[in-house]
Amino acid sequence: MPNMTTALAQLASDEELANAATRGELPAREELFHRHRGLAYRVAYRLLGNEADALDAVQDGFVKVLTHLAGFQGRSSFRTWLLRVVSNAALDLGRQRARREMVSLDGVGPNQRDEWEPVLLDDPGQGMHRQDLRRQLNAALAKLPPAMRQTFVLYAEADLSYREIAETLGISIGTVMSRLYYARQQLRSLVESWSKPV
Amino acid sequence: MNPAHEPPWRPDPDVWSSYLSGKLTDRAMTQRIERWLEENPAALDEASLDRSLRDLCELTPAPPPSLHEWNVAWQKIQTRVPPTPWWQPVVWFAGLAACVAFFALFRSEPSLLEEKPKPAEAVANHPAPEEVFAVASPDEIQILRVEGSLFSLAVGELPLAGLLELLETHEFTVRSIEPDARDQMVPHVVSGTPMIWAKLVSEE
Repeated sequence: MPNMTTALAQLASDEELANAATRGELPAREELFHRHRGLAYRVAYRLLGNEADALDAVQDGFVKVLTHLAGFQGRSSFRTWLLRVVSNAALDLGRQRARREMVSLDGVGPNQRDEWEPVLLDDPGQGMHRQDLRRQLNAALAKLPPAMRQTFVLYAEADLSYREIAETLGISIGTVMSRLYYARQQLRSLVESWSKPV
Repeated sequence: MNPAHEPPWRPDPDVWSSYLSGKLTDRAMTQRIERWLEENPAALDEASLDRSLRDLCELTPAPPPSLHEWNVAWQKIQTRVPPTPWWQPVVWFAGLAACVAFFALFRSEPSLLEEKPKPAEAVANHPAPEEVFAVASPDEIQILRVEGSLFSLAVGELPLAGLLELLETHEFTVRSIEPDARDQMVPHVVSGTPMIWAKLVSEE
């Protein structure tokens, strides 16, 4: 296969790109990053509740994936493989961050940095409401055990099916269903407070 | 199992997952699930909760990074990914050639593929290692409480010590269920669902 140009890379499948990227072809690597960075970031953000950390997790995940592309055997799709690596990187980063903050930031919780997030929506009232909701959701997710949080985020944010999650995380589909059941139950109070009319 | 006690129908996990995510295109199956939900308030509640949580996630998307931030991230990734060594394509080619040669050899001499019996002594001294995906070792966890759910059934005396085994649907058959001696409660068992299983002392 000849070297892939940027235009060709945009037309290639993930698996073709992965093969080309294994040979060190830069346009293929770049296209893989461009194609999947948004989803990887959304998953990392939900797991970490912080934009800067989510970007770091995406970087860590892509570095691991691009470094070990030769070991990608195509048993799962590139997307689910990437999501496993990125979500694991996010959980690792979260653990490191928690340790760091326990040592250095007395009294400042991991989600309090969101308080300085700018309002991006046209309607400031609606923007504040969403910002507040997002913060509450992040806080509720942070309380879930890591494995349960990872399962829920892959389901709700990455839109993976039960089976895809089972394959991605190497667990049984029954365990996926069980984790999701308990995650939903633990997030129930958040939904109920959100649904109440103001 | 007695057909009179045939458990009621419920969607299998793949279908249920597709239904919850709105990807189920089979109209007849969708209607069947909706009829099933009408008769199963717990499942209806879970479906409704799932929908609300998905809506909540959709309503509160992650603030997207700017193009500049993405560019910086990509630059950092490139500097951290080691370049592909010049000899890697040579290795791939050599590997491919070796595979072709290997298959050509064994095609012409199929007897080479026959497995030679291993000496019994060698097998006894070197049993095949079992690959265990350990989440936690038995002495690291103690199960104090197991809540029933739509998809699981806890069996055994609490507290449980040891690994929490989760059986797939094809790994067990419910033959009979005895009422609990203390409260005479009988679990409502649905066939075709996974179950949590605890080892009895006699199975240790």
